[in-house]
Amino acid sequence: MEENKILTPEMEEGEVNNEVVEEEESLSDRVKVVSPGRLVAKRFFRSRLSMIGLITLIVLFAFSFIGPIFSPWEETEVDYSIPEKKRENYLTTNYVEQLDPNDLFVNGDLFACNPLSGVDYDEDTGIGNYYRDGKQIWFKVEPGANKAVFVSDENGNKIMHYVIEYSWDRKTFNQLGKVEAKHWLGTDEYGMDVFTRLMYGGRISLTLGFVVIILETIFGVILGGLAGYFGKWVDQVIMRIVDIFNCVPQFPILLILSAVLDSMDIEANMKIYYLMGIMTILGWAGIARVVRGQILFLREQEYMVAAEALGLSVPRKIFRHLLPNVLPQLIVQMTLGLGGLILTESTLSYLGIGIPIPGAAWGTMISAAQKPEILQGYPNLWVPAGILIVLAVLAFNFVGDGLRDAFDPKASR
Amino acid sequence: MVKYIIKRLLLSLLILFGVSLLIYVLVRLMPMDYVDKQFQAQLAQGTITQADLDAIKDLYGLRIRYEVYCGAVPDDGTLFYGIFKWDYNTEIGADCLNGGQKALCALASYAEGYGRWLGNAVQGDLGQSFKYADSVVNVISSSMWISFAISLIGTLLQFVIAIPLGVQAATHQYGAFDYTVTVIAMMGISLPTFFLGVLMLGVFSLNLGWFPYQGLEDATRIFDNGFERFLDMAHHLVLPIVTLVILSIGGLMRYTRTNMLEVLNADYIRTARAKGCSERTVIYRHAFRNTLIPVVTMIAGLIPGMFGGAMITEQVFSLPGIGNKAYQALTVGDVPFVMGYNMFIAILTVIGTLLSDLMYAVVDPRVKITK
Repeated sequence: MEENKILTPEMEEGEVNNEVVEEEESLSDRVKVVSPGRLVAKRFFRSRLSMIGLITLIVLFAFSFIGPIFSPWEETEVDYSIPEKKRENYLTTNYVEQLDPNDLFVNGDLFACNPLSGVDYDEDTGIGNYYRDGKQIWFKVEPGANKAVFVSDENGNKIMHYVIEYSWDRKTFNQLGKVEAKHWLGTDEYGMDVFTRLMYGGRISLTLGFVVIILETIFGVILGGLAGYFGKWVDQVIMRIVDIFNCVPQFPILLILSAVLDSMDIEANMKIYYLMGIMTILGWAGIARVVRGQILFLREQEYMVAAEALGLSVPRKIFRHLLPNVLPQLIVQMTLGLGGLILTESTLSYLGIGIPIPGAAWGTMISAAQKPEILQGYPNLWVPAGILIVLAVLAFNFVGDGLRDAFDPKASR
Repeated sequence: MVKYIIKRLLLSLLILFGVSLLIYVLVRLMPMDYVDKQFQAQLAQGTITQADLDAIKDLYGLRIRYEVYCGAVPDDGTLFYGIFKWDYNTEIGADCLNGGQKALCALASYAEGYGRWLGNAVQGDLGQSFKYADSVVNVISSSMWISFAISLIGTLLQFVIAIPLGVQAATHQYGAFDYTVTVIAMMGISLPTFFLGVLMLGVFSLNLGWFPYQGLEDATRIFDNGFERFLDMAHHLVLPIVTLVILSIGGLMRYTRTNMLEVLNADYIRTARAKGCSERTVIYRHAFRNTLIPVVTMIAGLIPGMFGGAMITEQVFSLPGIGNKAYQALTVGDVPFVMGYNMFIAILTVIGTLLSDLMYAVVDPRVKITK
């Protein structure tokens, strides 16, 4: 492969030896010529594990990107039907106590604050009580109203002081629904279809992985290439920056940055793009290191001396002669990196700093298992998501390993 | 050699400086209302004064009153001198500053805060943790050993299990055993920590009830003697350690296998076979010892993980190790602890890398350190 490239300029000059051509023709009659690319492909497809990985990936991609088309449910669609007995508990509190004019009014949103938190309340009788200023205040809930007024004290703590016309149909959605034909894996705490959310979660994980790995590669190749090719102080500066990123602990930094993002009031659906950027910045150093090492090695090869002697321009030397030879290593690194990125993303989502609910991500879905009752009683909510993560990462690792073996010229099989 | 070590140490200092700068800037960007909330009660009780609180805040740039000279009055261009106090966070009195001046002030406040932090850190003072109400150095050094004990046991088990399996896989390359080991190793690598942890808790703790649910020891029990307490702790630690071992075993197994394969292809193995050594001698006397070279150097690379704690595992199992402490501190914005912990990890990483490079030269006589 390398020799061909060096010969190309000479062959353009028309100094093609006829004898050589004849010899090649006679050779090609007897021996089937296989290009290096074909050889790699052949080795790759012969490996059983990499084929399993590849097929798994194709299935996963189809599941995530085509699957939702056939699903009757949307990502965040709540199933408002009640499966068995119809329960209607309209929780409505009536006028409780005279308002203190010094209190600050905050008009409460339905989901902004559960009016029943911190309140001892009996659902059947509709009678409840809570404490304020050491005084027990009783109230009765009556049906048929729909607005709430919350009162906050000086410290901004919400206290349910005065509630009018508040209604919250608590059980009218299919919460923690069973596994049935309508919901293949049941519904979660919010009444959303788990199976459909698995598909959308796959979209997030796979897209994020691909975008980040491509961005990382671009940064890594440019900086690692500069360091490896130019050496001297360029190398020193870039590699010290790589060292710094190497020493920065990844998860704590991701946690810090996500706290920063939260304080910046970023929209939930925009957060994923910021996450991509952050993961890129923290991840490019590894690829830069690989590219630099490879280029340092290739720079000393004979064919690069030849390229030098031919007086090729620097960009031509880099893009035509060096980068194609880094490519095999790079592809392997990228495939293996994808698995790692999916793990990182799902861990972040599990810790509640990745994709927030109601957005679907595999890690976010597993985080439901932080509640012991779900951990024990509803494995259909979180086990499938975990299995999909393992499958995706495993498939990328199999494919990456297969590619590495296929590219390895020393491999015996 | 000595020259090389000195050079590497100096470079490490440079790297640590860069890391601390980076972390400081990031930490400063964190939302800071935690400090006020945390100290409100103490302030009311009179255990700390407003001046103390201000001193803490100043250190992390939480309350920068910056004195600035304002330039010219925009309308008529007459020069206007004066000292203005500008609260960096609330932007009180910042009206006369334009964007560039604000940026300059922010930069100055960052530089000042960082300088003060660095000055203290060099003297071994990483500040006072807000959440744990103790000095950061104390919190780290007290909770470090729990994490260390867990990962030490985990690492030992990992080596005992993974190395023989890796060697076996390499000697039976492409056989059924090799495939099984490879697939199991890959599964270990592909498992998310939190999923395995949660799975373990669900199956062995909640459903089967074999092991306690989370924590390091049973808080409701009173122990007769130290040994009973130790047994209870061990009972609590089984699941976390098994989780750690399953997760890390795959990587080491593959590493051993790759190295063993490389060694088995070497000329001296062929020589050993040619001179008539038994297969057992070839593998365990000639090949295995050389396989250990990269494995031994890998141990130094484990240092940051061993002392720095396994954040996710400790969080899932609610263990009071340093990883979980750091996680809790991060979620509430405990700036001094976050800063100190990150630096602790960075220092460990630098030491680990340096040691593993040096070990390589010590263990393998073919490697010569030049420069």
